[in-house]
Amino acid sequence: MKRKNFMCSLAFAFVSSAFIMASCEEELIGSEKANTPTNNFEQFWATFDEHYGMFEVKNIDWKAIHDQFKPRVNDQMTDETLYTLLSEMIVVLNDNHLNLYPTNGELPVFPGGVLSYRNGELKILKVQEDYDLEVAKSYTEAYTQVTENIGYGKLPDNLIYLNVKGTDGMKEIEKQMEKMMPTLAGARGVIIDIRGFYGGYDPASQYLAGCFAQSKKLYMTTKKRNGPAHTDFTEPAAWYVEPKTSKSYTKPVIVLSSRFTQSAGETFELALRQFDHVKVVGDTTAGSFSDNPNFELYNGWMFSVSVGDYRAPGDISYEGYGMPPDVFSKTTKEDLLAGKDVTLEKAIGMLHK
Amino acid sequence: MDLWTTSASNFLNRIRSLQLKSEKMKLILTLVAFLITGLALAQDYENRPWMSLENRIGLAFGIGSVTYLDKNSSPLIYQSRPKNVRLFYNLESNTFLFSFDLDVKLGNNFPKYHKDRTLYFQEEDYKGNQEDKKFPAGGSLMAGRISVGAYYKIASTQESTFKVAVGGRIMNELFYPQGWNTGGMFNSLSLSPEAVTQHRINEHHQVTAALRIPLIALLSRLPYDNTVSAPVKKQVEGFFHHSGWTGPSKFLAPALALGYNYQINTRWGAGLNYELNWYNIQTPQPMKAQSQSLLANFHHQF
Repeated sequence: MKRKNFMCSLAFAFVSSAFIMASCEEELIGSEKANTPTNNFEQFWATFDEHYGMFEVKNIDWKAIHDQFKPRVNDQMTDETLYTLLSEMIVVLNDNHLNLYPTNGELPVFPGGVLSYRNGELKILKVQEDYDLEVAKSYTEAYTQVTENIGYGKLPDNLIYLNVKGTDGMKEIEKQMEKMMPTLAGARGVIIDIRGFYGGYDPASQYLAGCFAQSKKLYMTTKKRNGPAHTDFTEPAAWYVEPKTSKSYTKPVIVLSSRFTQSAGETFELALRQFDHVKVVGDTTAGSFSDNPNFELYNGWMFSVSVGDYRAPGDISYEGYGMPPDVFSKTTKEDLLAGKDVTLEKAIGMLHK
Repeated sequence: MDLWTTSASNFLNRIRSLQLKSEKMKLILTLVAFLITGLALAQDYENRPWMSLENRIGLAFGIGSVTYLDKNSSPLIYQSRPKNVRLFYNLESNTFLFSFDLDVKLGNNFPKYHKDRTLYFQEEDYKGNQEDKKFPAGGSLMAGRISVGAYYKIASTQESTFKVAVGGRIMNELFYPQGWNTGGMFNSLSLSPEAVTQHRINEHHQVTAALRIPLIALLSRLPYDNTVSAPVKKQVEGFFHHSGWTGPSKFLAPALALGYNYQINTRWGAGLNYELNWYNIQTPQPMKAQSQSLLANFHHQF
């Protein structure tokens, strides 16, 4: 009888503990607001208000944007209408780093996109038409992929073509670049192609740029939002580029850029631009430097927000504009379809001179 | 009896000292306290001496649930049902208890009310090729902890079947959700006072209860901006760069553990463990989390 009582007590203790704790989740965790279009709109607006890093540098009155869009919001609006409205708010910020991710499986992800005015009409560039790695590789011999995002091949006349698509995996980049630098050292010039570099990790870009550094130079200062006021920022962090490998490459370097070069690709280019032996050929970059973590709405949708204010030396912000190249060159869709990479050819020609 | 009255009173005082705002919360925790007390008092004592020195090593497997709302990055409640594995070692002498455990939780992770989120990408290249891609926006949770505890038995004799021990636990705990949102991530290295009670009902059955509350913690959280990039820092360095010492005002994490052990023979035993952890983190923005686990363990004594 005692044993039976004991086992009953024990079972009761376990079950009731679990039940009590499960039933008081709201007390322990808190609760979500109702999933309504109005709440989602306000959450979207407030998240930007509390986290977006470029209201001041872009001279944006975010409260006025709220007042402009709010009259169109009501709790009867459809997902599609809400999607259109939030997308329009993103466009106002002119920021390629802002994406809206509807998660109902019916509406496509809205990329902040590279904004472009064509024939007086605002368009968002979604399709890259000035670069194809396969076409670029056709100019090289023995193209080798050394990391997931970095590859290189030999060009005629002792030149090296180095393609960087991203800078994720800093450890691997450090390891592979140490191996690769002796190969680069023998080259007469290096062409670094970052037209397909859509993002990565800034400190890894910093390291990679250091492989081509002659000396230590300040190339960027960053500050990020640390409070709800538009002026709440962390102390500025100074980013220096300096020789990182046992032997940095300091002979002529040409960087190929595009409107689709963005994020950690742009901070990489910004670091390289500090040196006289580096020239940039191609198109203006996207103009989206800042880190952009994802936030969420009550309906489960996600969206990214640029939380920083990144500046080049001289306190210059290229956000929304992009960095112009030293020499403009553009490969067209027709060129690519014909197997030609005009910008790469221009860079090869410059190095021959 | 006096001892239990004192212990129960201390326990209630501890609960009061949490200064919880919610009256309902206080009520529930008080009920749990009475439940534990009642369970132990309901059993008969058996006059059988404890081993003077006992090593116990064991492995536990089970299931759990983790729920959190991290307002630093999302207004959504996330939920995970992880699998739980724990390796533990206990050493007991006449006057001291020593424990070590390594606990790992692995599972999926998703917003509680949006479990089946799907993302839809429309892609197009310059050749005119169009591709529609749909895939689930899922996530995962990895949580782990490693801890050591040492306790002094304040109420036990060689003959007693009931023990109360007090001491402290040093614990490192990591919450590492991965997915489209960075919410819920933290690491804490904490020091907690802990009270442990054990009641040996007879030669086969034993129940335990423990309560701890961290007093001080080295807490690492993503900063307000939810990013880790910083000059020359790898991602892990970037995360731990934002560490700071804090107390219960910013890191309140009481934990309650209940256990039942069945001694199969002098060498082997088995049991059940239930554990509830509650986290109230106030930096950089509020995050509350609740973690529960129920594990079955097998242990060897020597």
